[in-house]
Amino acid sequence: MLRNVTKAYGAEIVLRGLDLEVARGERVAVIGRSGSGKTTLLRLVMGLERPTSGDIILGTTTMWSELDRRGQPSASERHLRHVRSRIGMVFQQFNLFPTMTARQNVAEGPRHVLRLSRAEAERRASDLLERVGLHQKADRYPSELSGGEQQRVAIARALAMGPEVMLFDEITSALDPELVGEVLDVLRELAVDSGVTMLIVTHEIAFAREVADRVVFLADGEIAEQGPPRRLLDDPTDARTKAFLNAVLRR
Amino acid sequence: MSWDWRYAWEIVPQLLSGLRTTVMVTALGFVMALGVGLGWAVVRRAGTPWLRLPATAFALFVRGTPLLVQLYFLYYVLPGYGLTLSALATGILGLGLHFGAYLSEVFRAGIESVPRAQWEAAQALSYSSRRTWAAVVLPQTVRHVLPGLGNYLISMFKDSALLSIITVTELVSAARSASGQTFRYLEPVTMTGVIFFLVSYPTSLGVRALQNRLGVAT
Repeated sequence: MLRNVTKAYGAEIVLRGLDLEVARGERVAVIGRSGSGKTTLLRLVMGLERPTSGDIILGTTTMWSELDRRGQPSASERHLRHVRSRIGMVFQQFNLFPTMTARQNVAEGPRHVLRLSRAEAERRASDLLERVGLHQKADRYPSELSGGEQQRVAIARALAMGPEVMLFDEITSALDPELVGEVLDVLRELAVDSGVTMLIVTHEIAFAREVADRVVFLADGEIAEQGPPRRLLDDPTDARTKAFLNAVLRR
Repeated sequence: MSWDWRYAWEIVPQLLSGLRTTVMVTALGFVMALGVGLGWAVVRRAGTPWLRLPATAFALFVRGTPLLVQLYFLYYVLPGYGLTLSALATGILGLGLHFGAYLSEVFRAGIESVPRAQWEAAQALSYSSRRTWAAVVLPQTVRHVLPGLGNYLISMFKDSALLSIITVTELVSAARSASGQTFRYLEPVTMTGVIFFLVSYPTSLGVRALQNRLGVAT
């Protein structure tokens, strides 16, 4: 949940006083023009950036503060790591570790952060790679995989940490069109058979309609409009939403 | 003066014994330089300002003064303050510090070549900072720094000749003591040069081969 969150880089305000509450298990798609603050929103939730003002609260824990209200000392690295460990993120550019095989990419976190035994970590990695359809390529390096395959490994890697919340940052934008489907399939399955909360920044309107419980349209650093996919996508009320949807759907 | 094969043959054992010291000093000095350089680079990137500033200043100072002066200082000045090391230990320490300062630059560049996204990916997976360095950043740094390290290894091998002035009996001292006995310079000096080349050239080939191997493994 974000409460009155503002993020500015110098004089440039990217998010202005954003309030967004996401229920446990809810799947929220965030759409909007590039530059509307979508990616910043996810980076704030992941704790990669610190909000200029406002609070980000996961369950009952405030991210940048040890206690749960204002005026507290800044959060320790340990506290941040603890909060981050409950969130997983998949990046637009995959960001796999190039010196590790697919399996090592997935197993590293369980092994050294969750402190599972080597055997358990590898088993978890193998299971997850199987789930994203890549068990046969587990010992390949990222450079030997296609973009779609790399992105599926990245999804497995984030899932391996057992997050409560998964963040997806335009995870198909860097892919060739013919590879988009395989990644969305994985995501679709995930949405159906796991209770994990999802925050999905995407340009795939059709996908958002299909998977999301709610669609949030972001414009100029604010939530311009939000609602159930069918309502928002078929019958938008905000002028900016209309313009955006027109531009996107006409393509 | 003409080349005397017999004399040349006679001094081979002496020169080889000098070479042994040269190689030993270079190897130990390089290991130390690797440790110093890497430690320095990591401190300059991740340390608190209180550590970072002195580390940066010291590295700058070491790079800005001649190795010869540093060796003199370690060998002739420090004993006056109660710190006496053997010539060999001084030589290794001098080479290690001097080249450590250069290697820290190589490592720094290597560390900076790791994209921010890689740090963020590790952060998003809540890796500890130690794990981030060990599993993500340094393995990617290695490939990047290898050419630089190889070049400095060869420079160090050649610059170890300076240790002759603090009485380490390495290759150049051996050549000098040989010529000091006979007043023949042609053979010892020429052979010394050839020996240096015979070691440094294959080494540079080896470094390149290693680089190619690692390049392919990505």
